[in-house]
Amino acid sequence: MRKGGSLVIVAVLRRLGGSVLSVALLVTLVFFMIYATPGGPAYSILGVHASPNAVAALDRQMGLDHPVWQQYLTWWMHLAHGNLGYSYTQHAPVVRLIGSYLHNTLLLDAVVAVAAIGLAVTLGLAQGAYARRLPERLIGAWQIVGYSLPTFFVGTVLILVFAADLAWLPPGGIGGAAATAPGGTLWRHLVLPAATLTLPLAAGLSRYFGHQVRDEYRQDYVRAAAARGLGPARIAFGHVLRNAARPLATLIGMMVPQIFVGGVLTESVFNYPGLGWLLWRSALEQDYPTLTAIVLLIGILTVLGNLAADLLNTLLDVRVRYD
Amino acid sequence: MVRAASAEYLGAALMLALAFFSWAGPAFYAHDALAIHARHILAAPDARFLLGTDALGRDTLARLMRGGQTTLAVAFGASAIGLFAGLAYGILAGLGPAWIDRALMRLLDALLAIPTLILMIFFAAIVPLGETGLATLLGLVSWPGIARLARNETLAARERDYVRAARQFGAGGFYIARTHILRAMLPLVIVNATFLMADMILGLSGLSFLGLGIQPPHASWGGLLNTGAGLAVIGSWWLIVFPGLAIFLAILAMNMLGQGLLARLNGEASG
Amino acid sequence: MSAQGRIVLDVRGLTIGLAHAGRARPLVDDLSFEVAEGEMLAFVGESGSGKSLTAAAIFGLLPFGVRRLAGSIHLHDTVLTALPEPALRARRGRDMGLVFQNPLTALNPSRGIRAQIAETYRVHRGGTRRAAQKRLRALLTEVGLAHAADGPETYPHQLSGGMRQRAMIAMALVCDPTLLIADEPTTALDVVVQAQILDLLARLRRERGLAVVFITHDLALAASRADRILVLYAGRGIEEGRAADFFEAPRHPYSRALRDAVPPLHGHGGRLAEIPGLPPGPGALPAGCRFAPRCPNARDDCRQNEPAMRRTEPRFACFHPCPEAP
Repeated sequence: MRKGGSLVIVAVLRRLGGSVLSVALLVTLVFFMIYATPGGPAYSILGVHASPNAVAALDRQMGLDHPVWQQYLTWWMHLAHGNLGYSYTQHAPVVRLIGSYLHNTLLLDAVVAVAAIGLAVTLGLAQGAYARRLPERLIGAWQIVGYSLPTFFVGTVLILVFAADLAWLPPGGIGGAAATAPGGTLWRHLVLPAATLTLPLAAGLSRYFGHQVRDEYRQDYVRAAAARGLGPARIAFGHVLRNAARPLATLIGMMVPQIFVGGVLTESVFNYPGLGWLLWRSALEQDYPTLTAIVLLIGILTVLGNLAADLLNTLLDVRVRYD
Repeated sequence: MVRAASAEYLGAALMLALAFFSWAGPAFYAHDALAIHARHILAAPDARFLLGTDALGRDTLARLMRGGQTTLAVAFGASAIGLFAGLAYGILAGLGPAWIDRALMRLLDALLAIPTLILMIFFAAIVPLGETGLATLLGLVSWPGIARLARNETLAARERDYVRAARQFGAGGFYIARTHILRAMLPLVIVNATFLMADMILGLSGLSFLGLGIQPPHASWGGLLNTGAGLAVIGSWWLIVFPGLAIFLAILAMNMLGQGLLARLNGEASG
Repeated sequence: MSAQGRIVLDVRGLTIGLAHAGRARPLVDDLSFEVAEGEMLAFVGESGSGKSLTAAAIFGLLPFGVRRLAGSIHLHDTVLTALPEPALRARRGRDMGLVFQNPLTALNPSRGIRAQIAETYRVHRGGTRRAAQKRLRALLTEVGLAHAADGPETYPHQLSGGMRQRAMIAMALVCDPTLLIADEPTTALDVVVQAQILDLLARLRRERGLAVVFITHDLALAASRADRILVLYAGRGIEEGRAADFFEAPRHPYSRALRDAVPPLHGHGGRLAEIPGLPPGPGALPAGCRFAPRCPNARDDCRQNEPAMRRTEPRFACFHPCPEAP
């Protein structure tokens, strides 16, 4: 068992090393993406019609006239110090800007993740248990519709119906300080964006999970469990779920970028002040430092998400062998 | 309720219908997409303006047709570019020596870490683009998935006996890639190209909805939703419902086509 | 009848077919047999002959789309075929146990074997974890897995094929059922382990007075291990008899062909006999005897009428049986 333990540590270290390398590549990639940009930051600060002289002066000031490798090193230095630049459109350091929007996104995403996983597991189990029967087909039809529906369309329609027509829920934002205080009405602002974002996510997840469950139900051990007199609920939750859930861990890791992508559109539709909304605004206003920082952050979170999924898999799967 | 085996036919028919609507539609419909009817601003659907008019009094149905042309053409172009780039990258990684494969795959991992739509937003914000530019951008940020598939399939194909035999007889890498490997992975590539097209329609529409894609006065489905969203809330529901449905149907069509083909490829029961 | 004790399992006229069959033939056709306490009955037949479907029907676990069309199944005094699902479920694993061909796939890979065995016990008998654990130790010792009874939990992948099958048997026996159905229990194992598992089954049968249905495609194995043999062909029972006599002088041409296809234990007897043709597919059933197209003894009457199983010994279903002496 001790030997097995050290093997696990080696495997974890190897995965960590891979992730570090991925992040390093990502940082480099983003640097060159900006570097290769025609115009560059000076234009965004001075406006597209700035005189070449003014641009050159600002370039000098910002160190943009240095050779590439020097700029690249400076880029790393700044990142290492947590310096993500200064937003000239919002007049605030990017780090602080992100900090003030991040928690809203985390709140929304947490609600969505819980709802989507819960929905996906329930529907996936039902789909697998009723293979080739009506429930499976109905859920299957719902799934393909669910992830073909664009979030921005769903969101707009939800606003139209529940906020504009019925006036049950607010059309967007998060309300003032009263809403965010404990016992406030923040949840009312969360309902529509969360529903919008959950729909395609749950559809995709449950489809994948449903396939897993269906494959598990075809295994001998399910028939063997039935032959031992175990009931359908015990078979589903005690046996099938455990085996079908293993790939789910990978999938949940893969959900991180999906939530962000959906988040950009959903937060924009609902004017929900989160990271996605900030990304959208900074893109429209050509606020490069903020834009770059968010892209980097999302990239790093994705790498971390995949890493977490991998590690979770290692823990869940007693049969994993390392070579 | 749709059976898996007939999904590909339904999907293909739906996509053909949407393309016919977009390109042939204007020939049957009286209104022009850009004509402004100043006396009929925000008119609800009626006998004259079948799907109503927008804030400038332009006919929604006509703009929907024109928007379909833009949306479908750009998405198709983007898919073609992404497919070509992905195949080239993947086959190169799969056929090359191991160190090239490792380096290329590592780079791919880093690229894949940034979701496609985020990359699109990033570049679209930096460089204002026309339709060709957008197609190129979308294509160039969306190829990693295809590249990974192509690389894996190439690795699998190159271990097959007939490919080994061809190598022994001195066939060059390019010849093998063209004759054997591409052919072996073609069915899977077609399926994934279908899903890619769905992604491109969604991506382009999302980008246009955010105001970063096709710019007014050019019509696109996502752009129509963008301009319509604010007006819909004050009563002009037709400005968002029809473009939204068009995007949904186009994505649904491609997803159904892809899933049907995939089910067929996997030999799932038909009937 | 060689009944040693009271009848445990009594199957009458069992007919199984597709739920929406149309004109397709039944998969199991009018099958009757019984098994007594302490007795081992072997089902012998090719794949597709209906052996495993019969087992599934006894457990009320026919695959989706397949149905019991006629016949009754009695376990002691209970009519299993009349029981509603919850009542039947309470008997599975308690009054009857099922052992599968491949223990690796029949055990849940992500749960320990003790947990899986104890689960069965607690579902039927209730009681505390402690009581189950005590019961477990005795049982694991009985099937030769004493080393897995204590210490950290053992997972299926940590066991060899034979050990897994022992665990599977323990799981089937944990509630002391009176009937055990073993569906090709040794097919996935090598010969030495095969013998060990069959020895174990023989011992359990003797000690517990178990009625055993042993499903196999291996006539020689069945003849050496079982008390009685029932040969199935294309869903129909075609010959039944005492295992000891059976191998000497099978009367049905199919049984005889099966026997002649078994290589002799000593020496090389030249070319083995093979049966020409293939068994009929699920759709196409010849008129008359279903073995007639492949049968060396077949005559015109065989192609018109289907022979019924004789009610008295020797029991076979054939118009022109092979002579008694080989």
